Amino acid sequence: MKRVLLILWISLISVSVCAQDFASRFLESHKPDTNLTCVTISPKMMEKVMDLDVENEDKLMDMISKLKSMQLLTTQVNGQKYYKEALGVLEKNSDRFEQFLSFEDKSENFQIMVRKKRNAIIELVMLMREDDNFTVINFTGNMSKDFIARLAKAMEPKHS
Amino acid sequence: MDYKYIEQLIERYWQCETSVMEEQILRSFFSQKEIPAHLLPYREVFVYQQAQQEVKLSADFDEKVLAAIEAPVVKAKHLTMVSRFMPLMKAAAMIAFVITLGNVAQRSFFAEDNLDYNYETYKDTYKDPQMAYEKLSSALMKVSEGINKSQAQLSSDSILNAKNQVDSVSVTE
Repeated sequence: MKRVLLILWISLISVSVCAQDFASRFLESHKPDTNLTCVTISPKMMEKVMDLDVENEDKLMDMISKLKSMQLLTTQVNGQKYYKEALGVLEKNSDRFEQFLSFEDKSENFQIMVRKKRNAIIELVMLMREDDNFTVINFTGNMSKDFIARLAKAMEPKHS
Repeated sequence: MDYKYIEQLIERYWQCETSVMEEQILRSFFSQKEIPAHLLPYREVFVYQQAQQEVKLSADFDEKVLAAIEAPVVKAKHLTMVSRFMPLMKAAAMIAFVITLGNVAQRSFFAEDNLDYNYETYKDTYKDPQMAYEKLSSALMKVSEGINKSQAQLSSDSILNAKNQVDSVSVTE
């Protein structure tokens, strides 16, 4: 009886253990690192943001409504080193994240990864390196392909 | 045969005047096989007495009685720290089990979506929603820029690949 209860408890704990987003994982693996700055916007703050009366930004607010949280990590030193380390963390969690898009040239690199659950994108991670600057943008929420398309359109270069 | 003496003894027996010796005579008389009919009703009394006198305690009677009435020996049990706190630990384990069960039930039945992140640990950087909004919009723009640049590079790469394939086909021709 005791063994059954113990096994049941352990399995329940494994179900109830909460996941960590990429930025939290990366930050945890770099504790204490004073070079990294973290900006966090929690679900509660997201709700407050949604209550803001912002004029002419309906599309942006509609996109924000799909987000639950944001974490932003930045550093202005050793960008290349952090970028490689972040890629390593993503590789370690390759069963969790799948590559979505990437960009590479001499001065900058982008890597966009997504975590999907039941066909919805629940986490979007963008690693960005520009010279020595390194940024991780980490959104969680309920994002669809339509969301990504609209997001891309928001900054789409206008062709003349 | 004259049984007057016996009859007198019986009479005196009922008057509680017989001696031990006389009672022994009576018991001996009634232990015989042949008893006159008028004395037969008294027989059982004296046979019973005779039989009861032969009943003796068994050899281990004293031991049994003493064992039954002696106070049980209580041995001191050495309690370890673990056994002392065992009830407390059992209670804590049960509480933990119930809390876990409740947590799982809450997640299973009331989860609003697929998100399984622990937002409780999030500490907001901004107190002003306007500042949070500005940071959010700037981050969204950066991601948008990243998507566009990646897609542009992807399409230029595919055009280049297609062109290379066309070139290689024309060379072979």
